[in-house]
Amino acid sequence: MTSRSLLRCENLSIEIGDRCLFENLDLDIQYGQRWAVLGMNGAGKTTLLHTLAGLLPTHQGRIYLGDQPLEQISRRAIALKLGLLFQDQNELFPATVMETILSGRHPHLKAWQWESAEDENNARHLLATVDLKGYEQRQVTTLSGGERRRLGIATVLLQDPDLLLLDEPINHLDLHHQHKILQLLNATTQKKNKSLLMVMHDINLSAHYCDHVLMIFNDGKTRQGSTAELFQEDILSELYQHQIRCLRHEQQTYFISM
Amino acid sequence: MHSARFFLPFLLVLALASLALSLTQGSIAVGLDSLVSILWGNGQGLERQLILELRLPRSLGAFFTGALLAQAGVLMQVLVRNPLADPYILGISGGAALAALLAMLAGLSGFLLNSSAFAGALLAVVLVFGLARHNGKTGRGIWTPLRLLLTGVVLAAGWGALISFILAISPERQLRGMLFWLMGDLGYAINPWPLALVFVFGLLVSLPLARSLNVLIRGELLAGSLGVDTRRVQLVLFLLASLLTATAVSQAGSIGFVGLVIPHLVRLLGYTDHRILIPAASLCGGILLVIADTLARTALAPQQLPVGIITALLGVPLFLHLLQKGQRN
Repeated sequence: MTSRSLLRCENLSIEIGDRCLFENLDLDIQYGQRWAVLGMNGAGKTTLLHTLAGLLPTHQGRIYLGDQPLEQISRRAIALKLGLLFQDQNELFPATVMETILSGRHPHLKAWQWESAEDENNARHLLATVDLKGYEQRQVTTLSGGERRRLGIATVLLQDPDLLLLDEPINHLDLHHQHKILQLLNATTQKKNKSLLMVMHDINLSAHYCDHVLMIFNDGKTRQGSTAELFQEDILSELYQHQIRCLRHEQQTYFISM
Repeated sequence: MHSARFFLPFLLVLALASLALSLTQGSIAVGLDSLVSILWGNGQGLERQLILELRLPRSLGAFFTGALLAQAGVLMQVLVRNPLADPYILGISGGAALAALLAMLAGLSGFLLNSSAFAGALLAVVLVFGLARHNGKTGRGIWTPLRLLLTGVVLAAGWGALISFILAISPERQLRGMLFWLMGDLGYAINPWPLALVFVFGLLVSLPLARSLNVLIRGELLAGSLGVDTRRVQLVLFLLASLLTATAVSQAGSIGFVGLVIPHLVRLLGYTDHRILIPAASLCGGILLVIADTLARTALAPQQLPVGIITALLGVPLFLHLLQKGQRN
């Protein structure tokens, strides 16, 4: 595995309105790494994701995609490298499942170009992988929350970027699909040496499916490192301002809230 | 995905059929065979004059006005990301109407009347965009579609008040003409070619953007994450929709309904991809207005009705039927 920098930020500060969420963040996401972003509501996780994707202006600090400053790269070129799954997506206008997933090909196509038969085949295959086979012509508005979530995952996978920025990817998913989707994401990134940065709320799933973690504390402090190193009772308890215990069972570590 | 292979050619044939209907019907009915020979360059005297100098410009005017309004409606709905948006939502027709009414008061007609309406529309466009911008922290003018929408809706209300004021103080003999203008009347459409030109220009600009619109309609951030330069596309949408609307209203008054409902009608038929939706809505808008204008000229002949009444009377049941059908599926 190479240790090449994919997305890097230096001295990044994030503000919303006049409130500073956190300051001076240095982060280096390398190819093949799987990051979890943990923190309480309102800590700035979503804002960080949107800023890293270049969708929000930076007040201070710089972001580099590879070795190029993000603001010097066109939106389309960014979209070929970074894919973003939003926390929630509300649809006001009708569209079918097939049309929606094919939007993942948008950055790959020229102005007059149409999606190819291969794009459609790949889309169908991905839909089957997330258990949405046969849903191609369904209206997106008729899908359940979990089904829409899986459609979102399939769309960002069809986009095929190097770094997947996922905002609560397992939101709305049942237990079976939580594991299935995280396994799929892991398999895809490992096979193609891609990277993941996921906002998560489940410590155990983060411990299982991620190798790195960025913690954003409520006072604006951040910590980062390997999950093995940072997933400890005292650190997690401080992060969530709630007591968290670590239990061992058959050589596995589990975190439970008291 | 719905195949457009047959849909667009089908609409094109329907458009030609509606134009043929419109050209043959009227105070003097013309047979289809004479119509063909006249359009082919033959035919004699009076009929030839009737078709080429009176009916053809008016029918083409109706077609392109409907096409412009439907296209502007699609673009405006994407811009403000609101299914209730129509070409007039930002007050563009209000500015045009005020200027047109003032021109009528001043005794202007024909080309000068249409030019005044166009100037009024442009004034409204500049006003809404200027007022929707505000200086952010950076000192640069910032605008968002939401601010544009709110500013536009409020300005439209202001234009409405001024229009009512003009109506209230105008002499009675002018009220009828003013009301016809406000309801939309193709009697004012004297020259179809500017409409045709702007329509083609609109397609050339909007079609290369159509796939971006598919994503933009789902949200600005989402579109940005998929590589769309959202602010640039939104600016193009605003300018283009404004131009299309200004051109349409300056020729035919503020014909309602077409720009709001035709885009939804085509979506209900299953064509939600803007690469199909934009040309299909344009053709449907044109067809609806040609048929509506034919009815407006002939239903109570020799009396002519404002076409805006007929577009709604035809469109409302058609739309409701599709809505019912769509829900059953």
